[in-house]
Amino acid sequence: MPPHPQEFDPDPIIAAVLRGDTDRFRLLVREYGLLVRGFLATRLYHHEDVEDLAQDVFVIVFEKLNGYQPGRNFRSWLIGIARFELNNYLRKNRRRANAMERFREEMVEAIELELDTEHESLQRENVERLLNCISRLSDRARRIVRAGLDGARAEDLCEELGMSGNAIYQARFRAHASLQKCMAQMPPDMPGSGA
Amino acid sequence: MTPFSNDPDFLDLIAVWHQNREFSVERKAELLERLESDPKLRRELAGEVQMAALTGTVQRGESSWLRLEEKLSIEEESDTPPPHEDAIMSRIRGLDRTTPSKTPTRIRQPRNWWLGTAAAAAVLVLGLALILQDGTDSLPSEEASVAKVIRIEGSGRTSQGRTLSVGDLLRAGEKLSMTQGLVEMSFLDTGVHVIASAPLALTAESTKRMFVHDGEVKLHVPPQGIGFVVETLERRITDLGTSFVVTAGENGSEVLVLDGQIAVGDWNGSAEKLMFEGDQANFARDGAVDLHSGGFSGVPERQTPQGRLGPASLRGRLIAFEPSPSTRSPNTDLIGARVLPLIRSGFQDGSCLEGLKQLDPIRFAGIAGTYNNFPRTAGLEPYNVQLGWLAWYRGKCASPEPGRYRFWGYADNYLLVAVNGEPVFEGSRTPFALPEGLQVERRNHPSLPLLNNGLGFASGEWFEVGTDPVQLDLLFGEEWGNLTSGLLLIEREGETYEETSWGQAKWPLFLTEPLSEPEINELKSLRNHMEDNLKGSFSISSEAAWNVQP
Repeated sequence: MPPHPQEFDPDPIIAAVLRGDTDRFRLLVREYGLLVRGFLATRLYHHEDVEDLAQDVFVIVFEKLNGYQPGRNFRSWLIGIARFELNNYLRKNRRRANAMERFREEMVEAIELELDTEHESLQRENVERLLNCISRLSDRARRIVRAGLDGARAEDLCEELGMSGNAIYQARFRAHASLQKCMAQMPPDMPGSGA
Repeated sequence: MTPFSNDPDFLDLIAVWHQNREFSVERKAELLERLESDPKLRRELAGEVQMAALTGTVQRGESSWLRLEEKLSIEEESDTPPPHEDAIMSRIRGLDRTTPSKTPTRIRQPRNWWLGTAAAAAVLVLGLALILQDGTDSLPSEEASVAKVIRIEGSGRTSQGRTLSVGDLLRAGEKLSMTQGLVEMSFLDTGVHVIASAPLALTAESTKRMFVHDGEVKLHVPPQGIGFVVETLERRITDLGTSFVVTAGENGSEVLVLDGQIAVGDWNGSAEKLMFEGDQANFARDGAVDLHSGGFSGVPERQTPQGRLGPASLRGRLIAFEPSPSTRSPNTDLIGARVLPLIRSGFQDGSCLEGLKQLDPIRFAGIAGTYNNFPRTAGLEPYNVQLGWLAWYRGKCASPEPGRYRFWGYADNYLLVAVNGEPVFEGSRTPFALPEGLQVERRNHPSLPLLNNGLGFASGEWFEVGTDPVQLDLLFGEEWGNLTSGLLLIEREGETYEETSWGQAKWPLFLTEPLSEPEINELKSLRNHMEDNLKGSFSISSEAAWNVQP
């Protein structure tokens, strides 16, 4: 089925890359990079691992691009490679993982189907909406959402905000719920706009 | 608010997710059991995990994936070529508009077309003079002559028993052999300029074709010579407007592209491969082919690598190396081994460099960027690109102010700095003179970006400098080939430096005199390129420059 006119169509770009215009592969990275990183970030704890593996995935995609059949779902093909690489990575690192990391893996396995459903519903414009919605959060909520990014430890954040650990997680959960609501309410044709 | 916001199981699960919080084995088992039995909890947790992953990912911004970029750049340089003959013909006709420029962002050296053109013109004038001369029956006829000897060092004999001298003409099909020395020739009509070094055996088949049996031949092909063919036992190499080196020997042949591009095909004339600047290929007698892409450092070539030598300049010499009597081993650093006595003597005993071709003096103008063609632009001739070069800068210098300093940087291949005879920094790609090695304290910083790969900078040990000038010795060079880059920065302890947006200090480029405006502009362009593409940076400060003392 041909893509919607406004949807990103990877096939002409893939054809150009295969003809030798490798520079256009960067368009695919730009379009799907966040999706792949987002997918991996739901399975991996350390951001550095997410970045390394995402890069590996795109290197492999580039090398195997002639194995992709035009007209098929490129995103599924891409995520299939990401999943394969992720499983390889987890298998290789399983012996080094500590007890909590193994428990985390078990937790992810338990919600694997639900995670896939969530991920499939994710569209690129959601990402732009999300950024816009984050900017609308209260300072306190934004601080909590950003805490992990800034390297803040849970205890430090608790002290800084005068909150217990559970209160922090609750606040973060509420912030995420607000973000989802904000994204859902944003007009579909204005993914990144709106005051 | 969802019913899970106060659910202790849910809160513990997201605590595990967000912070890897520890729980007892029993508690973990309880949580997993609850997850398996409660689909609503699973959906809620999946939604939370997805949002956490997404908010984290989008807020971190775009990634800089050097490995992927490197791969794409290499592929851009060596992507699937059009069919061999078609590619050659279309390029010769100037009709090929389909292949994108391979190095769109590189600042390229203006090609020395005038050399070939001038040589061709000179040859034509001389040829005309010969035609007008009577009594030249001892010389080959003009119709059969294909190349003219411009310079010859050593004894060159032809298959017709002639000993060649400057001005002699080689006839079509005539084979030239030399056991030592070198010969410089220009092919008639095409203006193709050739420097060949002994041991050598080549046949000038026509004005557009030569066969290399043995030896190393460097060619520069002007526009009228495009399509010139060099043959070896293994391969047929067609020039597409370039300069390149062909080496042939008993084990096979080898080609290295110095500039532009060539087409390499087999003897069946079947389609093979276009090769570009920096690419190198070995063709063994048994048919094995070993291709090395030169890659693409992504850093512009320095157009002003030297500048004008003045009384305040740090001076140096540029040294071309010669073949070693020993067989080259991939584990042996021949230049390093040769230079090691100099370094170990505190740069007092330069006898190990005696007999080598040297360009002296040259001026130190900082080390930053790509130096692929540095020997050529500096005027080091003859220079064998496969044997490497080394710039040795030396002088007494005073620091801008007393204090503790250390160098930062990297070079592909050699970079070493000594203060008062003691090496204080080595940023060579591999340490000097492996496997013996040189023990210079060095820290690698893989997290800091680098000119041409992801390994990061090296930094040296701190060293103290007082008010008196110090003796400075600086080595920078290439072991083999022509993919050379480097960067040398200096940090003063306690000094505050501006930082890039990604938190890297912009240490100043190590300079020993104020640079001219064109030089500074070039360095600024280089820095912009690095910041945009490679996440590398530095500053340019005349205040940080060291002063050369008489």
